Amino acid sequence: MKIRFWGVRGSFPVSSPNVSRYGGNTPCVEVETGQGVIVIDAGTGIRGFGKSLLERSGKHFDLLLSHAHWDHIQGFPHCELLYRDDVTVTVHGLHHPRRTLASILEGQQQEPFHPVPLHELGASIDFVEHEDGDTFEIAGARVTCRRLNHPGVAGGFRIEYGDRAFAYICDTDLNGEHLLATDLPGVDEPGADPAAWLRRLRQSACDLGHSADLAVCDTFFLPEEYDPDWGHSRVDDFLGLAAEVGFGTMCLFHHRPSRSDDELEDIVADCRRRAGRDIQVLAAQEGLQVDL
Amino acid sequence: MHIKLWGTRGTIPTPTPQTTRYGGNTPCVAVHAADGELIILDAGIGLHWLGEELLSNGFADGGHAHILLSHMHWGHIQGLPFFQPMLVRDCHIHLHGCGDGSPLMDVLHRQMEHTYCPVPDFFVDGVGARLTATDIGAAPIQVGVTTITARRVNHAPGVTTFGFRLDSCGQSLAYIPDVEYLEPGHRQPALALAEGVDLLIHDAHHTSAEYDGRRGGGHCSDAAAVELARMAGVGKIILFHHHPDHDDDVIDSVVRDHANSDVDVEAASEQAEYILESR
Repeated sequence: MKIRFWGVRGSFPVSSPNVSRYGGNTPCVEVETGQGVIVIDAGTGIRGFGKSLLERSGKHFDLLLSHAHWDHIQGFPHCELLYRDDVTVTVHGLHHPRRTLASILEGQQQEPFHPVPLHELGASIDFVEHEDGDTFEIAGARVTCRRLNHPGVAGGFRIEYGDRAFAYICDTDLNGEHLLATDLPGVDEPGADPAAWLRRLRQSACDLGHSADLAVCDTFFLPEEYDPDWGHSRVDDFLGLAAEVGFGTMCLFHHRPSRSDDELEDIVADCRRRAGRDIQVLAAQEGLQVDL
Repeated sequence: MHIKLWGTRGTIPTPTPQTTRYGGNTPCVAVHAADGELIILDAGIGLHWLGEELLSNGFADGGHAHILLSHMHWGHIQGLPFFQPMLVRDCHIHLHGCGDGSPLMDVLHRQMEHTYCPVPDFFVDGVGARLTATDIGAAPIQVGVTTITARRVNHAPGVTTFGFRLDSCGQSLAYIPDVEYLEPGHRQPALALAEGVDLLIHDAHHTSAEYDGRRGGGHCSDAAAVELARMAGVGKIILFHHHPDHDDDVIDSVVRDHANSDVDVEAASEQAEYILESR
């Protein structure tokens, strides 16, 4: 598996010289197996991915959407590849009880917000909705999706190919005390226990990340910046998880918009000192490729 | 009039090292009039950083601003959820735009739908700043000493956008970010807005070399922009709404092409400031 980072920034794209080393595009990560291309999230980074796949003469990819917040879908209408009629895309996402996956992307391209509606894109686009815990096979890899604790319906992925495992655990408040995920089965019924759901969602993150060779982590906050209503984790939360479930490499991701390159370098250095000896630490950087 | 460019990029933000000089944020221009009124032209991602500056200068204590929206394409509204003053109780933000058949607030509210946006919904009464909205009509808008004129100009097929002209104490600015002149009649509203202004901020999405292949897409070339400026007799034109594929070097070469022009031509560069002196 080759992992390529096309967008690493959280919340909204940041165009500023002091983030230019790590990058300002919103989330988009490519996973190339020997048998196909999987893309996770369609932030503004997907523009670069689309141009690259075009150069490689790729005609198909599977897009896994962790959730539908703007920063994870806003690049979709601007991916040139999707304007070609010889391209096919399969979009995967978690089932949302009140919105189809197709309607979510259609909504983004409705008038008066975007000049080209979804159904007028040249590419042939299929949608597959998954339940929490589903496992499916794409590009020769085994993919598992699980719900995580983030406002609305959001989840993470584990991709296994050969004897390697890659985990994408973003966006989530790993150890948060507020249940921010909505539309969980039974959660609105009398007697439902939010704390039990919080434990289950944390266990989902553990299962996704267990012994992963590379784990992309939501490290939006430093401890002193933490806000319990945002659905993001602190660097320390994932240092704990990395030790608990044994990541090979912990990859800081979904960098806060105000996080400068210099600050991020200091955070990585600090994490390297504090992580266990067996755990490598790096910060996701636009253009970075990791071979597993 | 004090003018500062917070977002200059067209269509989608381009956060790359190759675009840092001219900027990668989508359109947002802040205008401080001589009487202190703040008028913001478009709400692209640049609006977030304007918001940070405002809050660091005491805006939270009763600050008020007018935001004029040229149209509703994402690049011109996507900064609204990340404009921090929207969540500050003592601020007052007045929105001007057109929902084309729907109330403006309803259209903008769709951006805040929980499926897409985790930010508290400041369009709900009691959340965040005081928000008011006016649909732009034919009558000029008066904000303190500044008179704002809006005209519809041609954009993508079937879509018009607003261009704006601000007149304030003898100074004048025109802002026409998204426009294409396909027929002679298309220039008339733009000429009316730009006539004799000190500063014209104008769409120059395509280079002249690219334009023929992209005709009809809703945007101008630099040549069409400069021609309009010449016809309108403006003091200076700022080429704006840079194409996302144009890096700083491409934009440099576009500006060089106009070095010997009889019109004063610059390319919009993020954080650039212009001061128009009262006459």
